[in-house]
Amino acid sequence: MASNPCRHPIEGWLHKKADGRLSPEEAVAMEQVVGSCPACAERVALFEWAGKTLRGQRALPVGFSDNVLRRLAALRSPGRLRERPKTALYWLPAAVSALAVGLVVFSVFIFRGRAPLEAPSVQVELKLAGEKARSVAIVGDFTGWDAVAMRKGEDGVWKTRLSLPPGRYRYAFVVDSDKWVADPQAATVLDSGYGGADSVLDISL
Amino acid sequence: MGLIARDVLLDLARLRAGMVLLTLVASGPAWGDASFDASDIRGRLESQGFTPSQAQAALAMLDRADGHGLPASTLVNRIREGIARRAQPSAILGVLTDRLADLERADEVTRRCAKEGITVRDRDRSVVRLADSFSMGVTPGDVVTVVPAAARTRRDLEAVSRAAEVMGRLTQRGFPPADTRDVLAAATGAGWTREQLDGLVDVYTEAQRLGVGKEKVRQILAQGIRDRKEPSHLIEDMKESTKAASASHPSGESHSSNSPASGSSTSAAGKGGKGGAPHGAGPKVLPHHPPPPPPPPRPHP
Repeated sequence: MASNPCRHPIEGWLHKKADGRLSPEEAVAMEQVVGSCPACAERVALFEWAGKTLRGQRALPVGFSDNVLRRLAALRSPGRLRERPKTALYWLPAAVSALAVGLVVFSVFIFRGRAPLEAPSVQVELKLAGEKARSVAIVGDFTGWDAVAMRKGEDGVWKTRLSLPPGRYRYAFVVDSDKWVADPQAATVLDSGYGGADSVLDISL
Repeated sequence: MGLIARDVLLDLARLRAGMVLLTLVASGPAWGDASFDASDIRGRLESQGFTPSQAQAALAMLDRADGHGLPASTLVNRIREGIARRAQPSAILGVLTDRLADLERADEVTRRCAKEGITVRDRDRSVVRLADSFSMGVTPGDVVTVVPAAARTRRDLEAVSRAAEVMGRLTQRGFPPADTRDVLAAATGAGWTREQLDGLVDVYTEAQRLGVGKEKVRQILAQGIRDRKEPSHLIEDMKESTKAASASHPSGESHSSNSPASGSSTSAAGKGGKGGAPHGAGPKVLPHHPPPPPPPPRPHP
């Protein structure tokens, strides 16, 4: 606001007049100064124009100030004060999440109910010779240690043919349902820890 | 700046979380392929007379194996075997304890191999093979003897584990690892196949039958491996060595001394001069390491 170069106390009178606190004596003195001082007259005219202009505006809505203050308070929160960096990094988590969700859907529809990919199997024949047994069964990792009967060939050798994927398996023969014996042809025989021996079948492609 | 840095870190955390989620989802098809079915195992155990706490102990061992990335299925198989053999719960728990310990030691050896630059393929099977060799009396220290030669010649973990298995077989036949591990290291370093390694058992057995001293056996095998001979030829060398020793000691003096010098004058004679070194200048003897400590006692079930 421009200062009053004539040094008349016009500013104080103007404020008092606007507030309705101007005394009659001050009003008379103000009239005299405005009548004699062009600068003060111009200042009063400007002040009155501004007052009229402001009074002509529409009234502010109820609660306007409170809303403004509340929003300002919210803006003081540190995380809201800066703009987000507009980089790919900001969108990457969202993109990764979207991809993850897509993969979930894909997995459910594609893999549900489908058996895992099967490794190629190898045909293996296991034999137990020289046993004058009524029955011989094979038990092992590949049978879940459930007995699977073997067949006696014309040569008197008990045989079984297995189709197994590559792996390392322990097994044993069960003669006449109660006598466990290791395969005498197996290269590796291990102590089972249960008072007997296991043979090892190591299959590679 | 601090606020910006904090938000960038938050973004990175979100990114990491997204990547973890992606990994989990990518492995989604495997979620249903747990290495064991805990409820099924518990049911089997309790039907065999396991108390709830015994069943819990067994499952805890399976969990531990699973948590360490070890093939827990081998433990499940030991449980099934124990049930099939009608073993007592305490016996089954004892077997599981031993087996888990062997698997963990095998895992340590595997890590050591990887650290030495040995390629790890078909890890589970090699770990099981190593664990089997430990159950045959081989120690991790014995296996580590093979590692430098394997690493130097770019052999993989399978080769190391097969050497350990053969060492175990030889141990079962009365040839302690201290007498065989250097030969197996040399054979592994020379690129011997599975069949060739298996053949070493026959070589040692034949040497024992012929009465060849263990140091002489080491010399013949070391030279033979360097000369890329097959195990069957090594047996012939043993026989030649025996004949030569008999000729040089007609009085029937024993040639099965453990002294490195004994019998070396006749080593590998008749094979084109290879290895037929005079006394004191025979084939280079493989470094002899001090014997490893004996394997820890295994509790009887």
